[in-house]
Amino acid sequence: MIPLKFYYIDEEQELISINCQSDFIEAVEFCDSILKLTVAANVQMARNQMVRNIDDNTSLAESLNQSGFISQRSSYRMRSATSDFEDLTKEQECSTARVPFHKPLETKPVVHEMAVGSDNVHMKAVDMGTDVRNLIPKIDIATVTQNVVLRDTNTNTCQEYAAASSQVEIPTNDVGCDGLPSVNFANQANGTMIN
Amino acid sequence: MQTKKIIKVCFQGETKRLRMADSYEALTKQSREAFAPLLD
Repeated sequence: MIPLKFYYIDEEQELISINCQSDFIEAVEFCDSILKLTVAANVQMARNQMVRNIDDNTSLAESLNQSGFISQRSSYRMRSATSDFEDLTKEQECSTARVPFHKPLETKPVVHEMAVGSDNVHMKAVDMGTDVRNLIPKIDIATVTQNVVLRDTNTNTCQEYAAASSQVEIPTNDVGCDGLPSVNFANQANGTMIN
Repeated sequence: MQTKKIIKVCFQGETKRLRMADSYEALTKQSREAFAPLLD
């Protein structure tokens, strides 16, 4: 049967062995709630085992911390710890409820500040556009003119024609839109001369 | 009120939680039983 030897680390970080009942009692009195012992064949193996355990526990703690396991448990503790706070009295609750988070808005007649024109109908041309100083008479404003005669405009001609210019071999009195009376009755498009 | 004490015993990288023994002989017996597969 292999003899078991127990070791532990005391408050001065020294490796202590347990070989008999008195050593065991001393170790029990030393610890608070948990007595951590290492079983090894000798001191050197016990030391190596403890160093390896410390490294393993450290890496394990780091892994758990990175995975958020410890923080979750910590936050759970924080949430549960909130129940340990003292309850507010009725007066304190009322005073807290009266604390304004936002300044109340003042009621202002915002209708008059809107950037739109009035509802009045402007009957005078001098009131429209940028001519606010009444410098231009009404008859000269914009496109409203009184001196344009219909027969002088570009789009209205007074020439009469007997047939459309696209018709073939139809004598016409006038062709085109040049505004001058035409003397030939031939169509320019068909290429035949009648006159 | 007395705090409940436990013993953590580590052997070859494996750790066991044992009830607090009242003697060194009891501790040895509990540890052998806990690590029996490793001691064979």
